[in-house]
Amino acid sequence: MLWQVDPTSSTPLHVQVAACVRREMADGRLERGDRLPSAKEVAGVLDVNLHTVLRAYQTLRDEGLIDLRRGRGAVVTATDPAGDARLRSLVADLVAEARLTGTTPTDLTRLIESEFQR
Amino acid sequence: MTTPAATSASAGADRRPTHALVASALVGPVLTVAGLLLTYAVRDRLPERVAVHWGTSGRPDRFASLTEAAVTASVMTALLPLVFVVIGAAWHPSARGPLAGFGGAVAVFLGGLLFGSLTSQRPGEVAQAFPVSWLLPTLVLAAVVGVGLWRWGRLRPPALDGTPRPVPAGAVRLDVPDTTRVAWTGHAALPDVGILLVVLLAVTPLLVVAVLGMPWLLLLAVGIVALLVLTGSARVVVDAEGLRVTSLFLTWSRVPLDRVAEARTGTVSPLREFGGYGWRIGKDGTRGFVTRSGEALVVERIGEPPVVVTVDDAAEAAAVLNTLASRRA
Repeated sequence: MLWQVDPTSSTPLHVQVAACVRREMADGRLERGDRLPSAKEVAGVLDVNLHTVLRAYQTLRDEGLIDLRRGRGAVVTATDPAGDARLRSLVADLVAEARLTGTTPTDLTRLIESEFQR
Repeated sequence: MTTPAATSASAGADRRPTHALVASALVGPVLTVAGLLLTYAVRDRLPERVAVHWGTSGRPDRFASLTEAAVTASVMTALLPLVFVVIGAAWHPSARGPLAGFGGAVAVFLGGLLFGSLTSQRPGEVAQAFPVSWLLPTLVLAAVVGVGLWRWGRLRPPALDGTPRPVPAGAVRLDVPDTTRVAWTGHAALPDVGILLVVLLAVTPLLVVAVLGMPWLLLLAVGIVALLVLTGSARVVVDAEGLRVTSLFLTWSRVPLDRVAEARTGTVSPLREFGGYGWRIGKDGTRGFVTRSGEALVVERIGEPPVVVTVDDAAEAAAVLNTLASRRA
């Protein structure tokens, strides 16, 4: 799989590393059960800090895309990684917008529920 | 050889692969002479009829006169390893080192075990096919001779003269700014079914014989399985250092960025081009880690035969390698 990061970009490196994995998933080139290279290996080939890659992998784990286990490395777990990741990023945007407009979590939840019932 | 230009060119070429091959051809005959001398020295202690063949139970089932047995051992030790030497002479010089290694190792293995089993026989004792006192030293010496000849005969790549050799303009590249760090990781692996089949084919006969009477063959079976697992898959990495193909602690191939002439995709047929699967050397010196037929990454090297690796998305790997190679000063 292709790894690319631009240190001169304003996007943090760990976000760029995570984006490499998401793009691979979106292109259908990573399947459930596939193993990602170890964080150490990725850090080595990109010449970035190990913690940068670990942070990227942790983000992906929090998004439910991969499973991190000691000794087994990072294993792809989500069947529809692209959709799931997109939803999470939309929700993040939604919450950010709600904060700006002063909408409470209860109000936002109600809005979402009413949208479901349409 | 007749023109001065041809003479100077051949004088400049690395002769070590050929020397190693010649040395490999001599291992068998030298061991044969040593084996015959040893046999002659202990002839009075040997039985009149010596065992020359063993059944699956580990007990001898065919006997011959001492002369007959010694001739058979001599012919096998001196001539069988020459197969590797003949192949090596016909192939690309970069294949000669490895073949010299194989030839030398096989010669030691045959010489040690054939003359070992012959000279260890005593009247009234059951002859052993592989006398334990000979087995270990033979295996160690075979490994030492094999690795030694292989390393000696390794073709040194010609020195880079410092002239820039840009990657051809038409080569596939990534469309990324020069500030972007790019890398590619992938793997080449035999399909699990393939591995299972090979294991069954290779190990079943050994297990049968081991159960029937030669338990130490279990070790050989374990070794073969370990070797298959080790050589059945490899990690492939392209980064700022070039291309690396590795399995656990073994590095099959390392192509530094400044040795990359061009990377491209190609179609490979392991059986036809390499005569098998795994880590292979072709007739023309091409190195291959080939685990299936079809699309493969082909890395043309400067001054050396290409390296071929069967990976998925070979085009992407080639583009990353070309992009990185284009950036070198």
